[in-house]
Amino acid sequence: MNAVEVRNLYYSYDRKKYAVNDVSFDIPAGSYTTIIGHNGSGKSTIAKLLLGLLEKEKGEIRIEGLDLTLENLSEIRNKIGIVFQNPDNQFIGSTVRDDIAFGLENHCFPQNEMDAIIEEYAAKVGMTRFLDSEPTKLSGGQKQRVAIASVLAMKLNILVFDEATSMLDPTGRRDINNLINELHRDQNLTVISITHDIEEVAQSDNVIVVDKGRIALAGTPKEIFRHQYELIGMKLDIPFIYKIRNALKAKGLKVSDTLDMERMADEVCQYVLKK
Amino acid sequence: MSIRFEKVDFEYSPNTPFAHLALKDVDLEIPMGKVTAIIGATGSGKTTLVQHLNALLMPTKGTVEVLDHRIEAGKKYARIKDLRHKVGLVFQFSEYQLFEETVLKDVAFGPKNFGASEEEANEKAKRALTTVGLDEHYYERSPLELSGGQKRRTAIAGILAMGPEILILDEPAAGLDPQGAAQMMSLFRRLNTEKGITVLIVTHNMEHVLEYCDEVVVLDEGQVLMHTDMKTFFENEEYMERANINPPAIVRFKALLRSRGLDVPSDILSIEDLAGFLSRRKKK
Repeated sequence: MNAVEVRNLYYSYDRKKYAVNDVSFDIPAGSYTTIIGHNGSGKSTIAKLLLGLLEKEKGEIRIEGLDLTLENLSEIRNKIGIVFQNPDNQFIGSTVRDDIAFGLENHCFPQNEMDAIIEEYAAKVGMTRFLDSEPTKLSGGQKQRVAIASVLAMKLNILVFDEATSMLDPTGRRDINNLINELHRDQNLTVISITHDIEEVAQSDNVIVVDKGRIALAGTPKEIFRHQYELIGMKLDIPFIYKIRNALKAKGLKVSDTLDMERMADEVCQYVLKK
Repeated sequence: MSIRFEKVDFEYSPNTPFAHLALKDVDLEIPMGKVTAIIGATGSGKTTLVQHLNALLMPTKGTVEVLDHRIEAGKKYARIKDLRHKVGLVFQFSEYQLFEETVLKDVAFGPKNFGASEEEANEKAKRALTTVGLDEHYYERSPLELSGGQKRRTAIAGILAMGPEILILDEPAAGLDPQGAAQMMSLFRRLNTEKGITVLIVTHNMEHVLEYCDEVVVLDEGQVLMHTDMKTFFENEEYMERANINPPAIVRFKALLRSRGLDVPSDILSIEDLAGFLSRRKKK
C-alpha cells in the first residue's frame, strides 16, 4: 500500500506562477523517502499541501488511501504529522510537559494514559529532565527535541520532517536521526524527510528531487546520483565520494563507482601504493 | 587591538529559580583580521559569548575588551552606540528582522539611525547591497517578497551598511541550500580578505570551518575547551574527538588512507589537492 499518493498536484501563492506544478508521486508505506531541492524549489510547499496546511489548487492527494478534503482533514491529521525547521514557531504549552500534552489532548488520547506517553516520548528524545521547564528557556536544539516528541507522541503512521534537524548541532542531529531511524525500523513509521543532508539522502530508500515546482528526478539514491551534473545544475550537493571520484578521474586515476568510503580508500591505496 | 575576554562569567536570570550560568570563567583572545569559527554543542554558550561583543549582554563577572572599548562587570557602560557602530552582529534567522517597506529603506535604516543623512545612508545601503550581490532591481522590492536567502542577504547588508570593523554571524548558513550556504560563506571570506573585516562565525558546519575559517574556538558547557588555528584543529584527531565533532569528509577520508599505510601530508585539506597528491604519488 502507498502511504501517500499525489496526482497532478498544482499550487500557486500568487496566481501567476505555479509553486507546485503538475506533481505526481507515490510514497510506499514504511519507506524512508527524502525530498531534496534548492531553497524555493517547492519542496516545503508540497509538504504543507500533504498536511492540508495549504489548500491545493488542483489535483489529488491520498493519505493511506483517504482523499485529502476539508471534510476529511481531522482524520488525515490522525495519520500524518509534520515537524518544522524552526521549533520556536511550534510551541504552545508553558512547560515541556504541557506542550507534548497539547497534541495528545487534541487527538483525544485518554487522560489516564497521557502521563505515561509523555514520559515515554520525552525519554526517547532525551528531554526527561526538562519536562517541567519552560520551552522558551531551552536552547534551539532542545526545543526541536520537544517539537519532535510532541508529534511522535501522537502515534501517527506517517511523519514529515521539514529540515527538522537543520538547526541542531552534530550530536543533536545524530541523536534525532538515530531516533527517526529507530521509529522507522521498529514501528514501521513512514518517514518523509525534506533535507539538505546529502548523507541522509544517500541512506534513504527513495529520493524525490524537486526543481522549479516540478519533480525533476525520482528513484533510489544510486539512481539519483547517477545524474550528478544535473543535480549540481539544480544547485544541489553531491556526496563527497562522488566529488573525490570526479577529481581522481580528472587526474587519470581509475576507481569504481562504489558508494562506500572504506572501499574507495582500499582502491585508492591499492592503486597508488602498487609497486 | 583584539577581542579579549578576561575571567568572564555570564548568568541568565540571576537570583531566580531559573538562574543559569552560561559562561564560566572565560579567558579568550581572538585576533583581529581573521575569520574565526565559534563551535560547540547546542547550549554550550556560543550565542551568549558573541552577544557580549556588542554589549547586548554585559558580563556578570570579568571584563570584555573589544577594539578600544572595555566593558566591566557591574559598571555602567556609556559608549554602547559607538560599539554597536563598529561591531555588527547578525542574528540567527536574521531574515525575521526585516521590517521596512523596501529593501533599500531596510538597509539604509542602520546608517540613518547612526546619524547619516538620507543621501549618505542610501549611498551606503547601495554599496552594501552590491557587496551581498543584490543589484538595483531589488532596491524598491518589499523584503517580504524575497526568497529566504535573499532576505538574509538583505539583513546582512543592513549590518554592512554601518561599516563595521568586526562582523559577527550567528549560524548564517543554517537553513540555506548547499549552494546558497557556500555563496554566503564565500561572501564573509571575501569581506575579510578584501576589506580586512574581522569575522566571527558561529557554526555547526565543519565543512565550512575547513573551507572558510582561519581559527577555531571550541566552547563546552560555557567554557573555552580549546582555541587553535584551523589546520592544527583538523590535523589532530585528539582535538576533534575532544571537541566532539564529526570531521569533514576529506579529513575522514585522509584518515582511512593513512590507516592503510598511505601517508598523506597534513596540509592537504581540499579534494583538488588530494587528487593532485595521489596522482603525483602514483607517478613516482
